[in-house]
Amino acid sequence: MSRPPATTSRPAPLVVQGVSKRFGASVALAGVDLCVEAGSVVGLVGPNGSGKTTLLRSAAGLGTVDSGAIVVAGSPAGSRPARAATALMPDEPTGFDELTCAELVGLAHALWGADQAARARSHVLAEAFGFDDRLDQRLGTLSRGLRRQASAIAALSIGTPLVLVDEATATLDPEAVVVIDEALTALAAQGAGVLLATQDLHFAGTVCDEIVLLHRGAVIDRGTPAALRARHGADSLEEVFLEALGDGSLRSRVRDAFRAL
Amino acid sequence: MRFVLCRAVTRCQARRLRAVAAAAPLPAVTVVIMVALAPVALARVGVALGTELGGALASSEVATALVLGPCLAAAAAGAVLSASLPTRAGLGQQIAAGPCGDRSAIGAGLVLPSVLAGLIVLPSLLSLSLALAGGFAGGYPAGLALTAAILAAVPAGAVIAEGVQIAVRGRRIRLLGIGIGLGAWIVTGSAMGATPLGLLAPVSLSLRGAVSAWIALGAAGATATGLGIAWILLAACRPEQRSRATRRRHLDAAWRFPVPAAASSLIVRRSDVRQANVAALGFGVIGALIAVASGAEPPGPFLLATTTTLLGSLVAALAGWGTLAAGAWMWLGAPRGRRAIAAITWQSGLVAVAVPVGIVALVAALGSGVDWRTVGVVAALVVLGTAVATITGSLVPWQGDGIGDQLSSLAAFVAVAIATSFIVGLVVPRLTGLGLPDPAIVILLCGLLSCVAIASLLRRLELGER
Repeated sequence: MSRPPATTSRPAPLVVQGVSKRFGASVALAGVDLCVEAGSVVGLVGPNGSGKTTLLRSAAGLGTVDSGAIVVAGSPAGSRPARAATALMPDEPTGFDELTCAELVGLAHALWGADQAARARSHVLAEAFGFDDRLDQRLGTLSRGLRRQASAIAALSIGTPLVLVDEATATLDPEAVVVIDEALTALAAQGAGVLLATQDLHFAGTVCDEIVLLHRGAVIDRGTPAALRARHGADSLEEVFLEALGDGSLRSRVRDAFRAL
Repeated sequence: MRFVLCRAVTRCQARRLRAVAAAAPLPAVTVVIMVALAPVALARVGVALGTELGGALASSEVATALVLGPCLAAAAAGAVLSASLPTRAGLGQQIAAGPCGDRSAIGAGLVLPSVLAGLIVLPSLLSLSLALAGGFAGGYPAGLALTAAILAAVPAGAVIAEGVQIAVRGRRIRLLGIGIGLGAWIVTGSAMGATPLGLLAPVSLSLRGAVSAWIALGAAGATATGLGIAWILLAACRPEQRSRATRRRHLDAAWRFPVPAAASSLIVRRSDVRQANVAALGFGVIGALIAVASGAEPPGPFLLATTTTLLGSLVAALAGWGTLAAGAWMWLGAPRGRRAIAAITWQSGLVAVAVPVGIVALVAALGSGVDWRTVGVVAALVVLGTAVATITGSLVPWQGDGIGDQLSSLAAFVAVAIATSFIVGLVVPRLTGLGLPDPAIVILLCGLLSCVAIASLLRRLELGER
């Protein structure tokens, strides 16, 4: 997947340099370096607990890091300009049970001071998700998948230079995954940088320009999907994933162990 | 199974409280010290009140009012408890799907908060009641009966709140049962010359020495036990909420939903806040009607009605931080100053508390008349109460689905309120001694506590989620 390169001299939407973070004895991030250029989609892939969400939350200003630097559109992550330049679609869009979907989108637009283009984008997304009938429903009455769609309308319509998406496809139906795929691609084509975390390797292979493999908080491999497959001599990203983790024989080990019971 | 669940739930609550205390050790220690000292201060208040009221107690109306006032406040608190009582769903989907009964789930969630509330409230209540009744004909045993009556009013308020929910959700047979109980209450009270007190009427008689205090204590204890059981039974079979038809609106209608409006909507649309407000309005109006009907002089009815309503409506301020914390991913991620978010939360809580109190104040003022000084006192109580509730809510967050979280928050609210009263009681005489006029002292206190409330919200925002 190729997109027009960024032509402006504006700072990169996200630069992560030597970021480390610990939660007590456990290492969440260990010297992570990462750059999300304008117009690119970068995918974070890794096992549960590998630090994907911690990195996204730190970039969104929801958590601090122990060392290293995260710079969002030229400002330190968590600063007001950085927050103004970032939109987050969280894995668990909790809270706001008492607001309707339309009110959640309106609140996000008010908080970020969104423009008319955001309004137009929200219409497109609501229509694409088939959400028109649900705009007046309170979020507390929706399923988790529908709540994520509402938070996607809010986050992807604002039009910030950096878009962060946690567990991009979790709990979403195939149609919604198509909408997210197209929306992220379009936002990147318009110059936004997208950093997404996902366990859906097929989705990552389709939408991402670069995939970063995280394991125990450290980057263990990175590259375009094609380059990763070629480097590991693999047919699929699943094989790349297991090879990179040193777990190439996982399937056969589990199968044999169960048969032996 | 019941004990396994009870142990697990109690452990969760205890660990959460420990984490809360560890996160804010200084406020926690201050609250503990104040709660420990409160019974001593309240005993002195009780003795002073008892000496002052002793002569007037010959009138049955005064004796009834002496029991009814705190009972109405306790009933409003009971209605709030009912609104916040975690049912089976509060256990979380995985455990709620397990083979545990609804009553076990409710009982498990009640153990630690009840013990805590007992430790915090009971010594102060006992101290005040015993000191107060010590100067009356009924003596100390009548003080015990008064304590039991106030405790019995808590489940009474909760049962009425359950009745309102049952009525709204259309369960006629259960509602009929509550109606029969209410009828029996009124008939019993009427027969003993204290209609609104119902089964608790012997308590007001015992204060005057007209009935043995031990009989009154027995009646109040039995009423408390019966109503407590009825409350748990009703809560365990609480009917499902009916889905409501919504107005169709276009996405454009909520285009740029203003932040204060969103924060206020989040708080006042919560079902527990809504129910607490309905109960607060109801008890406030009932209080005003009873006071007017019994010929109480102004501003008695106004004060009784507004303070009763205030107690229930404070849930909105208590819920402020918990409501925001659940959506911290958006509030903290937004390019807004955190001070502005904290101020908006405080302001939304204040409006949510002031509106129901204002409505009841208007009704009470029309019914009995009121002077501007009393209106000022109530306005100050609204601001101070909202500040105390906001501080508590940021220390022990009131959350939507946590097991017993709301009950722990309520227990903490009582503790913070006692601590604040104690500090105010120490500071105000010194300010008066400096020659400051009363209105200036009140404005100073309101401003100071509001700043502390906003600062406590800000501190939570800076600490991050939860």
